[in-house]
Amino acid sequence: MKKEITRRNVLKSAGALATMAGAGIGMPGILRAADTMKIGLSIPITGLQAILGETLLNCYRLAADELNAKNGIAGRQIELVVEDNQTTTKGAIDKARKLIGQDKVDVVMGTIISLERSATLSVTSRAKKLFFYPTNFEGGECSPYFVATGPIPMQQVDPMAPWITETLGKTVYIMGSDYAWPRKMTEAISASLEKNGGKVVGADFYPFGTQDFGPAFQRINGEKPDVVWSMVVGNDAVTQMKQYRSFEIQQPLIAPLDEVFNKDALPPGVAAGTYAPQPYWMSIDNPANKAFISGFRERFGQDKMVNGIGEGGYNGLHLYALAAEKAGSFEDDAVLAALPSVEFDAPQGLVRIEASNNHCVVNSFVGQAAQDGIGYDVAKAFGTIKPVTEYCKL
Amino acid sequence: MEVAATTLLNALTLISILALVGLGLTISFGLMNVTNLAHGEFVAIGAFSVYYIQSLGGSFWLGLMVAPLAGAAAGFILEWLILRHLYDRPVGAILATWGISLILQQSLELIFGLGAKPVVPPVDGVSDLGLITYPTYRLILISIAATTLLAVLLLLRRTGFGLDIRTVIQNREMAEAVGINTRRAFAVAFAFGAAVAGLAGALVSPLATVLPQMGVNYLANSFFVVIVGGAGSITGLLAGSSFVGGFTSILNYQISPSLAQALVLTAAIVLVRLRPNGFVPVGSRFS
Repeated sequence: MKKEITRRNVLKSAGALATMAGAGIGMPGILRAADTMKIGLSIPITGLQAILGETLLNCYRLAADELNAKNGIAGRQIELVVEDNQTTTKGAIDKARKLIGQDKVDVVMGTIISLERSATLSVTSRAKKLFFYPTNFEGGECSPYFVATGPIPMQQVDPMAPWITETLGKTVYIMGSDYAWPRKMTEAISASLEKNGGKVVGADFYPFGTQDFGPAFQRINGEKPDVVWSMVVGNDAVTQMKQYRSFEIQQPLIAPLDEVFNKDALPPGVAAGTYAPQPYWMSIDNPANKAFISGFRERFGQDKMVNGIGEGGYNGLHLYALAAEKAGSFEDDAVLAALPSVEFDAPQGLVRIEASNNHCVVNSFVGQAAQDGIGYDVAKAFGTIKPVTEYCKL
Repeated sequence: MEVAATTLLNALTLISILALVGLGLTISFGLMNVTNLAHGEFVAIGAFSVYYIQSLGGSFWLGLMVAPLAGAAAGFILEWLILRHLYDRPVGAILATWGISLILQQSLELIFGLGAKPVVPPVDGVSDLGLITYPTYRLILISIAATTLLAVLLLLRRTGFGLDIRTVIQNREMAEAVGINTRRAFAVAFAFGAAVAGLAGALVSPLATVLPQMGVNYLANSFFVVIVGGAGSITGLLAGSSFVGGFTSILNYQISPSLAQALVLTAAIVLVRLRPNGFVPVGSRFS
């Protein structure tokens, strides 16, 4: 293959093009199938979680690029197989089946909201295929092949409840999207607040696609709680935040927002002053975080933001790589066995997987949105919290 | 009292939006016997117009004026390219408009990118109404919607064009027999309905999430409004939106919102069983 790259040759075949282009920019020749390993990504690129899906995908790309630039995983280059699950149950099931059955991926990662995760898990656990979930997780699902790198309610709510009753107030009104995570979080919040002398005075859950949150604000004006805790998520959170501001509600607001969401989806300043519990903030000051943010921005744009879900995905891929490297194998059981014994110096701080439940030992912070309504200052850091699960004893 | 007043204003906001979106549907459904599943996309086009004008540095109000024009243009093109060939095939029209709806959604996504678009409201804050305070923008929305609907009502009742339209709705063959150009009436009426949907999209853009798929949320509810109220009449439209919007607002405050939505839809189904032609059937005194 000593031909020059001419228009005619390029048009001859796409395969030849790939070969020559690869050789042309000094890549190590064509990789045979055995030289790559596959990570299947199930991402909500369209639908309710489209806003956050793109950032999550880019965080996986960043982690894969970082590893590929060195030695891949145990000498194998990472090939990402990306699928759009459309933020639907059916999409998530179909895509998980395709990734496992057709693409024969070594591991499945991704998904954001509960329904995507449960649907994916229904396929992966039956296939005994490892599945890494990056998002804040309401708990309740447990499988030896399921790894959660995001926080469960007790890791966020338990440390936060005493802080709320001391700094913000005793009574809390909750409004959430009508699905598993907000409902389970509400149970955890009620229990935790009561232990600390606080109380949930009302909780309303709104179906996806709700256009008018007026009645909820009317409830807030009636109940007069000290604090409003919103768990309305995704695109509906845009509707909810815009309307919250227009009703000029004075109570402090805890909202499940982050840097990406605030910048890309909300009008400027709408999120200013709101609180949020997260395992990761861009403002955390450590070398790993600086490298993470600058790497992300170099690749995807200097004005881009990252968030806790993206970081959870990034950590998951790196933890997997460390475990596979240590196990010297991509077999699910071998990686699983090695997983609890590795640690990753994540942007949020050191993280590891707890052997007893495959959940992640994560950091817990309360952030407060700055005046620009995009970035967050750390209002309180609770350190790393070990996941304790009644429902999961592996 | 305060609760009642806020509930009333919440209901009026919802009723305004439903009535504006439903207007175009009631025209295409009642006038042309076309089930237009792409109607929601006119709402999205209106909202994206405001976003686009704002992103160029224009004001919300300019966007509000551009939105109906964009909606009308989209409606006119859709009618001319597709619908006019399908007036005799209502089922074909359902399929075609559904396809158009997907194409429009994807086109918006290709042009403007993934994810929600920010729209800045023209006014912030609340107004003191004596008894209660209520967001100023919502009061503006209600007034603009009421003015628009009143104008449409006058147009249909007091102008020659309105007379033509009402004639065509009541009896198409007879209208043609007396020399009304039904094709032209269809084209203008359809573009007009799309323009009002575009206006609705512009009005909700500061309140709602501006997404290519946003129209879908409005489409289903507006169909209920039209069917419950009676297709093809403005009074029916108002009755239908008052029923769906008012009921939803009252129940949402009292019970779980998910349950409220289910109850409203159940009530609508029961109503359609009892009054198959809606509250205000076409041809009745009040249509």
